[in-house]
Amino acid sequence: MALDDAEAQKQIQQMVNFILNEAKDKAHEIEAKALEDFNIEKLRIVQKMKEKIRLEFQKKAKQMEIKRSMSRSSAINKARLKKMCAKDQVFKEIYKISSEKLAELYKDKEKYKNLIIDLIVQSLFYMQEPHVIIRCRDVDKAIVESCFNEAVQKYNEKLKSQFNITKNVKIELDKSGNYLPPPPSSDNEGKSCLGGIILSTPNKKINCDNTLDVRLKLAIEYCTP
Amino acid sequence: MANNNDGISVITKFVDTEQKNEILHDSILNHMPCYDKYKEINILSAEDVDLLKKFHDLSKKEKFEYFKENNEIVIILFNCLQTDFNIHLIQYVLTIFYEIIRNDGSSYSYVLSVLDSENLYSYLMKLCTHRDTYISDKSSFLLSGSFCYNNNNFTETQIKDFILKIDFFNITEEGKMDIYINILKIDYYRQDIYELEEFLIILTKNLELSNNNANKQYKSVFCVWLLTFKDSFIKKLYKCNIITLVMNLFKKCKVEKIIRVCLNIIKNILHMDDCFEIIVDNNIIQTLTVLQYDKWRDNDIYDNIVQLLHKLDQRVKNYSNFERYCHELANGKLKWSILHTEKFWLENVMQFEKNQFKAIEQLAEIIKKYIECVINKGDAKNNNEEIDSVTVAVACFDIGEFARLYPNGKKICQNFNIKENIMILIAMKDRDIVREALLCAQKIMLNNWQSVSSTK
Repeated sequence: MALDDAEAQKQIQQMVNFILNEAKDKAHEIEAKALEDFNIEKLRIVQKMKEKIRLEFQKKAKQMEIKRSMSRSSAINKARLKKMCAKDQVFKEIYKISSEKLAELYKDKEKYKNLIIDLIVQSLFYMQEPHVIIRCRDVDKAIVESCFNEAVQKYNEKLKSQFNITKNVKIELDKSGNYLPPPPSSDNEGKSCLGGIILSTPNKKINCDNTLDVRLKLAIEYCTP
Repeated sequence: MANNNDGISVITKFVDTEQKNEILHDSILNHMPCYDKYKEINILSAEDVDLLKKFHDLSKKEKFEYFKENNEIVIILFNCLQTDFNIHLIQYVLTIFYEIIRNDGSSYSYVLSVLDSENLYSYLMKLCTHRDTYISDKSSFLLSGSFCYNNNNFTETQIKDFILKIDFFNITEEGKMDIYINILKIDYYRQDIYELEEFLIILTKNLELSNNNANKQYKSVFCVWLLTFKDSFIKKLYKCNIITLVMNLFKKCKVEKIIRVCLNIIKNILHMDDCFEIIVDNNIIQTLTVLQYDKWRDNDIYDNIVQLLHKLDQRVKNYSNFERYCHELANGKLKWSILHTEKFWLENVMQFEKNQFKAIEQLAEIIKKYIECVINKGDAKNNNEEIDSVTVAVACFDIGEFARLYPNGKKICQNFNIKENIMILIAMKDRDIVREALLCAQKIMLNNWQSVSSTK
């Protein structure tokens, strides 16, 4: 019953070892749990960061997209502007060349006279007034006056053949000094006129501008694609 | 003095298996290997031998400290493993490593930082197939441990190779389980271990109640615990009935560390419905309440038990509800469970009035059918559904509770002609049915006069 010292010591040592072993087992369990918790936490954090980075990259990609489309549209605009400028340039060229050509026209008296007659007839048709006043350039005065009779005649012929009516029309030249500006030349830089006539009623209420400038402009507009 | 003797003898009985190991370790450690011989054959240099001798003379604690602070001793000891012919030396070195790691798990990182992991792997792998089981056990333990704590140092093929070769190592079953435990700590290889044929066989064998080896039981329960961290494994374990085995072990076993790990397992599997059913069916809550009052060496266990009880209570509240009751009733087979306790009825009695007391009607049906069955026992069995006695007993109990707790319960029971049937049941042969029927009759007939007078 009474254990001697050595026995007791041995048994105590055994107990101590047992308890120590139990403690080591518990430490092992705690470690295992800690490992698991660590792995879960690590995974969670990695996921979170991955998400964050993914979002960031999405944002960046979107920004790049926007930048790209912006630069694309600005490039397109620039090109369009350039095209418009070039077109404009060409139109101006055409206008200049035709103006020059037209400016020479009045030198050919025959052709010019026929032209004036036709212009007057056209304007008369347009206006349908019994009494009209014609304005023209100073230099064309003589030619224009000589066209009056022929113009009226032609006008009446046309009326008869197309509508079978006759109208009496009286044309008068505006002698009040209200001439159209002179032909263009390198001296005068103000307004210039390429030729042609302007018809108006005596009370100046209705006007028909049949100058060559206006016709040229109309022609260009008409031919523009 | 007498008490101490008893106490000591009880514990020594307990300690038997672990004693063996401890004694073996100590005997190995106490006996210094013959370093001088090696010096002669020139395997170890003179300084190494001196260092080793000095190391051997240190006490255990001093050994640990010295080991941690000096890299050379680690390298020298490890190089000793290369010598093939002296078993004692290898055992000595392995035991030193084992003790140090048992003492402090972080030593793995330290050792792996000092040694080259390729060398470690190749030497230890070779030793795992050594003819001495002690050596194979220890070296496989060390190697699997290094995988677990530093698996960046080893490639996947190395680890998978190791896993596949486990069955060919010359190790004891306990050693095998140690390896399982170590590798199950790594999530990536859990599936590989689970798929090993031997794994489930060993687990099931050791979880049997008839197995007396507490250590092996502890290790198997540890393996199960490590698997329960993942839901997919919980499902698989449930299918293999391992969860049931663990619960049974938990109820019967008194070993502290097994209880501790089982508590953790329960904590992990709580949230799965089917496992929760097993927990409830096995009356774990009761077991836990009893365990609370046992004496444990580890103080944390008390807290664990209380926490677990609390969680289980919460879950139970969500779980025991009227719908489950109706479901069970519809199946026709009733069992004793939390759905048939006073507590359940106290909470849910008012719900039984749904569908004009359909549930009560069904209970009455069960009793009637049983009586008919018994009366017609002589005739040929015309209905295949034999109502078993447990169902009838439970039905009686339920009716009684309803009559007692529901305001007009007795009147309603009258509508279903319950009293007559209960009377017939009292004359039955089955003792359980008779008891429940008697109690039920009591509840139907007696009035709680005090409550009646208070309402007046």
